[in-house]
Amino acid sequence: MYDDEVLATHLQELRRGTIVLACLLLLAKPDYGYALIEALEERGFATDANTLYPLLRRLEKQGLLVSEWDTGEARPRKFYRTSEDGAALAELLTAEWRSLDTAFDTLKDRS
Amino acid sequence: MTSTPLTDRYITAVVRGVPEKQRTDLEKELRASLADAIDDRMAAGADAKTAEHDAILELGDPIELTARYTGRPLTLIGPVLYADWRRLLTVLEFIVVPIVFAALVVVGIVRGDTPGGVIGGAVWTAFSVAVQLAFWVTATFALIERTPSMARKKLVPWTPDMLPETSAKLTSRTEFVVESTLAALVITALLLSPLVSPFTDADGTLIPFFDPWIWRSWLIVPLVAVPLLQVGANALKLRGRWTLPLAVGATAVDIAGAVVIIVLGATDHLLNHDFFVAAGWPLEAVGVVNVVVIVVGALAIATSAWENIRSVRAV
Repeated sequence: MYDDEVLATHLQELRRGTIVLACLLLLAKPDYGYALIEALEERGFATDANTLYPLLRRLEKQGLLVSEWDTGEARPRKFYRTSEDGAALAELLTAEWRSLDTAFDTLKDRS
Repeated sequence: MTSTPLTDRYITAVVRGVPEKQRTDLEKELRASLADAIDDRMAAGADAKTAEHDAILELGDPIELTARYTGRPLTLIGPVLYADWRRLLTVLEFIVVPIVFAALVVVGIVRGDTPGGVIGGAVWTAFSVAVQLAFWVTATFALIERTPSMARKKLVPWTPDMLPETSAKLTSRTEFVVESTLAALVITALLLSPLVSPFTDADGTLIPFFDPWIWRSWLIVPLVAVPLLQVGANALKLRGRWTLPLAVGATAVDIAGAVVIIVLGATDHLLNHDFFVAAGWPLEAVGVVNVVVIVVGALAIATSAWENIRSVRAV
């Protein structure tokens, strides 16, 4: 029987990359880093702050997200929003996810 | 909430490694995120100090966080370059260190130092050279790893030809080490001969072991160049990079070297008679060495062509 560490590694490997898609989909509505962590967690995409914050900036650098400072409130916050490119990529990644899902189903049907 | 020294220190530590023009933006964002996290923890009942401490702890080691922000590697040498690094370092250590060791032993013996001192000094210097090699090769690779334009691709694409010899062919590697060491010894002895000698003549000039004519005639050049080229050829042979043009070239080098030593032996210009007189050694020995050298040269010519061509087939 595999131990918990093996399970954790495989789960992590499998989930890697899904956070990107989740962010691109969630950020159709603008949000800031700290709130996004909670939003992701509520929807079953638990992620660490020290993974998410750098990821947001990387996606921004790649032009998949755009950002804007909201200085209206007492605490200025950087809001991220999915760009057109980001939305297009999200669509592509979603399609890929679905085709993988279908592919797994055909694997199960064989047995 | 106002920022505290701990938050300031953490944010400073994180943004320090980030390119200057992103710093202000990142600092502002990080400060807001931390403040949000601290507020949440305090709302859940934690006191201000614990809330700040835990929120910072959650973000973790600033070196790791900076690396994630900048995309810089958290490894000294990453998976792309590791194989190149290891292969180069292994080859260098196995070639350079024995040569240094052998050369130092020869120098020590020629200078007439005590055997213990010679070995001790040679071991220590060889060790230092090994450490220096490892350091500089690793430092260079770490630098390449951090140069984005270079780190993306392997320096030397791997091909099956680079596979190490199996045990059946291990003798050729041993041969290589032995031949390299011998070459190093010969070169060192030749080059040191005019500089180091236990004997001096009446004027106080050194009496070299080898005939000074070797230098006057410039034959020292092929005598040093040939062993070096032979070591290079052996290295290529060992790595399986042997081709017919290389075999022809290597044979030409071997023959040139053999001709030079045959000339030296035949014209009695190899060893210095004066050295033998000064050392009180029988002069007949010079004649014997001359004959041995001529025979060795002749045998070298005879075997070289056959050896090198055979290697082409073996590859």
